[in-house]
Amino acid sequence: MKRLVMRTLCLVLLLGLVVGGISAEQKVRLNLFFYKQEIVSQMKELTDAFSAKYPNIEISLEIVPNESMAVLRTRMAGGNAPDIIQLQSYASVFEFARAGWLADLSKEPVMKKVVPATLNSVTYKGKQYALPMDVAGIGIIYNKDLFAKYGVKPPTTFSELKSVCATLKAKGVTPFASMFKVNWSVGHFLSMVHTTLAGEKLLPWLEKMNQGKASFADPVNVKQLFSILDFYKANSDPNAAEMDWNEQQAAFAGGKAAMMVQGLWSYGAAKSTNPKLNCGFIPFPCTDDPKDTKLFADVDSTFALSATSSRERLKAAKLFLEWLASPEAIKIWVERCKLVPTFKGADVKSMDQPFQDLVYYLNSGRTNPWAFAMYPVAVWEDATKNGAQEYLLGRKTPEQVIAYIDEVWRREIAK
Amino acid sequence: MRGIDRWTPSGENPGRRAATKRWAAVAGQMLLAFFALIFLFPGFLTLLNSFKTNTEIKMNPLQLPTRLSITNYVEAWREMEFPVVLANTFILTSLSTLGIILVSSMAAYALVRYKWRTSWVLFLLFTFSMVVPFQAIMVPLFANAKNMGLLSVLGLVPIYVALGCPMAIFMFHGFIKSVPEEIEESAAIDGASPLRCFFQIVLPLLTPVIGTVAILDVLWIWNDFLLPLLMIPGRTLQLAQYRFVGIYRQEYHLAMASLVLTASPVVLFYLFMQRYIINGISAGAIKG
Amino acid sequence: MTGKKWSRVLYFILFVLPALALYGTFFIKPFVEGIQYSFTDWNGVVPEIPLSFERGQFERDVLGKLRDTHKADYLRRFYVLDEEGGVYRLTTWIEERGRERQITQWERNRIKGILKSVGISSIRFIGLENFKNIFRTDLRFLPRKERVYLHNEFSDLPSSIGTREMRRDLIPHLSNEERSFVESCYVFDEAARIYRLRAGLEAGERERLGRILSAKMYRDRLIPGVVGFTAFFTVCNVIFANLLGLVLALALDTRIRLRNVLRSCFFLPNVLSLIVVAFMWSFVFRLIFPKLTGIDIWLGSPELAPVAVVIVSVWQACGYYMVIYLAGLQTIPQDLVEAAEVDGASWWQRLRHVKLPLLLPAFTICLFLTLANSLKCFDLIYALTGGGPGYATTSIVIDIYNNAYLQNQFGYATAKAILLCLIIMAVTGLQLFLTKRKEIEL
Repeated sequence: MKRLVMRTLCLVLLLGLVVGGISAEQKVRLNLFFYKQEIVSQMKELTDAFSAKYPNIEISLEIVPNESMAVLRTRMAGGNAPDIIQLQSYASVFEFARAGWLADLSKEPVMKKVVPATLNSVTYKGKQYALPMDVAGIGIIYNKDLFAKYGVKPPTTFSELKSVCATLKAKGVTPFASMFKVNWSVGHFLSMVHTTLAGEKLLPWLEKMNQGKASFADPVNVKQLFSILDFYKANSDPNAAEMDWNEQQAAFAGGKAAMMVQGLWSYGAAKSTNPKLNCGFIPFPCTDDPKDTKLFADVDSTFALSATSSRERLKAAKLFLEWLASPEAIKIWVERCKLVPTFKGADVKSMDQPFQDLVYYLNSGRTNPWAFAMYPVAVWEDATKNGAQEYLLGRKTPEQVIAYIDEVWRREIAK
Repeated sequence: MRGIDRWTPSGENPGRRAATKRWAAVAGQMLLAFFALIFLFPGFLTLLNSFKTNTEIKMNPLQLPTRLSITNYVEAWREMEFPVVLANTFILTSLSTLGIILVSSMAAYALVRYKWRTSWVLFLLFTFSMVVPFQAIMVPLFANAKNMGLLSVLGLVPIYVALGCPMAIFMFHGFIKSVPEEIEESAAIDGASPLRCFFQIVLPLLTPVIGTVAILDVLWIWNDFLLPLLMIPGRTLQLAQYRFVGIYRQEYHLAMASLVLTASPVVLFYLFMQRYIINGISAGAIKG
Repeated sequence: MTGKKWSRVLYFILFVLPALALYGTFFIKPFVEGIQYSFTDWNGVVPEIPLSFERGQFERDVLGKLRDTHKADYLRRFYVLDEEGGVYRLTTWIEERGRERQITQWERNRIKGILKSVGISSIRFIGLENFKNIFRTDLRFLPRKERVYLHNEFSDLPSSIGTREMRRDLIPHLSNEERSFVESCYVFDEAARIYRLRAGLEAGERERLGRILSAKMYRDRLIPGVVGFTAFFTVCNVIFANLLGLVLALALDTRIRLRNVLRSCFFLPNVLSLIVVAFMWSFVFRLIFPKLTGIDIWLGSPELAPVAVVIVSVWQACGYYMVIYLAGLQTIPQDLVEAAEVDGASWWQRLRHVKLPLLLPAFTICLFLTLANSLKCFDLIYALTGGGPGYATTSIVIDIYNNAYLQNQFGYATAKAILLCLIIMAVTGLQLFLTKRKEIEL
């Protein structure tokens, strides 16, 4: 008995050494921390292709999908920043840049290769702290076949959208597949409508807001804003409060609903559920002036470098960023990761129709920035998402939602 | 001899008693079986859905699979790098649990048998950690672990032993109290050292508690999420299967298959360990 | 005799030391370090030692003020002027004996100490401010009254209004003129006992009616807040998990057929990972519960989501406590039960007077564990609802997590965690005191 126990113990220890042991080598080994879990295997392809070109640099990938910010902060608080960090645009980049964690990339040649309009999302106090990597849009993903079947056209004004919904409802098709159980999508919706209605007033308002001199209600007609939320709810499945992303995909992909208001990242999931799906992508119209109808699209993910890496590692990491702009890397990014790149003149012809639609709006300049990413983090994560959800579930009045957003905002800028 | 067939009030006439007896037994078993079905349902669904495609799962999770193919398992196995993470998780769980049992049974024994004020204070100090949410120590714990170079599978073992021993000490403490001291005293008079006393006399008596502690700790460490996520991301089974389901990726077919792969070792372990809990019946009889 | 005393002390130390050393290193030390944060305004992102200094500031405010040249030299080892010469940057990777390594916590602490001596610190000490703010400025934490409006001005006019809403939530808030107007529009239907909207209202009237309803139909409701939900969850979980665990244990401590199989079934929920538990239950609540109960929305409803969370939590936890109760039942001497039976005690009497009193130690453990675990519950709620919808299922621990990682208030979150520790200590301390007293009584 004892011998058996000892043998097992030895075996266990030996296994542990084999698994835990790392062989020392002269290579530069970089850590890349990322959160986009839909491209886990694709990231591996990307870094493998890089290492094939630069054999002395090895990149070890670390995917932390859902609690990425919590893990990243805990690591950094322990003085352990990854060399390359995938960050969400705007607020996350600014937050780490302000704290001094990120290396200044303003003078890197690769920054000249991205579309200049995207640099806003990574510029903090005049310096660029991350490389914008992909552009994503939030709008209406619609089922082209259903639209054709019921003889409706993609709407360009709010009135047209209303009549499309009325027609679909009359034919027994749910207009919108929605998810109210989880708060992020309705948060996007509130911010999207708010931004569209604010139009030109958005940036001056944000500035005033950050000085503590404005209210969330200021740039928009509150009644109009919340009546669009009501409209959205009235044209969603009656069980939307019990639906999350999964059920939303299923309802849309299965043809029970003709549209979903979502980020384009949802298209891939719907397409994999039903490969025959034939979709288009349009902005959500909020007014009756077609000129106001712009796509809610902006930079989604970026790559930043840790300022605390050693010089050698920083150099290797910059080499990686530089390489990302090469045709070889862009090809992987587009064809395998299915993400719209930010690099000038990137070839996206191989992508599906909704992505082409996104690129069309980007190229014609008909886009609105992702205002929610510019709100202070707590305003977005707490007040906006929860406020939108509580309004849709009948728990809060428009005044209460706005008052709470204003209050959290004031608290955040007072810090 | 005890059991459901004796669950009847005494003092009635024998014929009616027999009828009531049978009725009670059948009703009790039916009820229990029904309950068990409710409890089994999610596990059963998991198994069922692990054979279906993602589309089938999303459309109707209740439907029976149309095919019986193991492609999901093959893909999950490959994407999780199953053998490696299984080895990691196995090493981590087994070493940590062994450590917890050894370290805490010793400590609990001393805290019960040495009736000093210090013992009581230390016992309170240990139980204190059970009221502290992990989030309160998460950030400093990570900094300390990193500092000591413990960000590896083996490095996590002492951390698990430290975090697991309060609960184990608490349970051992409760049960050692009911072990009579006489045997140890007579052994001590025969010249046995306290260490020998403990390992040869007390430890064997603790089998049912050891079984319970082992089961609870194995389950905890095997299924733990936040600690390995911080320290050794992606290298345990739980973390490896977490990649299939998140905000923007929900591949339930792979998640279900990976769950069956991940859970089956602990289920087997539990079924195996049950015997030791049952053996406790006789151990309990000695105590009385 | 003294020799024996010393050997006893030595053996005591030998037995306790391994556990104590590990516990001290990996629990007490981080915990004490954590407490320090609760008195600061640290946001969890700003590094504890500045990563860079402007050249002038560093030379003037840091090196210039340091009288001890050793300290200045020490700092210079880690803060290196960058290539352009404008900024001193902290090098966290240093070369030592030809190998590159990261700087250690000890070195960080030393740097922190030196910088502190010249008055530079990125974390501000704010005393008890965080603790005060929990009660003063946190809108979500404590239960409070909130006005809930029953009609939304953007929705269509309700075709009928219940008697309760009409008489309690609307009429008392109206002026006489408004009251007669509303009563002219909504006609009381004796048979159905509701007020029905009259047909043929003009657009102007409809608009006025909509304004009145949205502004004057309201009631004040108690919003449980984070504390309220935590209390609800804890009480329900403690009662039902223990009750069900005990009943299952008693039922399985018999010679029924398939005993082992059944025991495994009840324990199974503990083996499943939370992702799948959450997924399975979310569709049970969506597809199966509506058919059983006639209520469509569970996890998405602010009123029912807390109940749903308790159901899943009890379902998952009771098997765990069943195992502990079973272990306790098996320590009950067989002959005692049999003796009671020979004496003619009924099943209930045997349970009440023999088994339950002897189960008290197990009961103490289970009660303690359910209390502490419910108050600390994070994973399950997080996976199932994420604290939503809105804030309906946000427990204190989830609130702490949100404060720390979504709202950048790390010091504040730690303060809340300390407060939670105190609450749990008070509650479990009281419980242990009471049950222990009962144990001694018997």
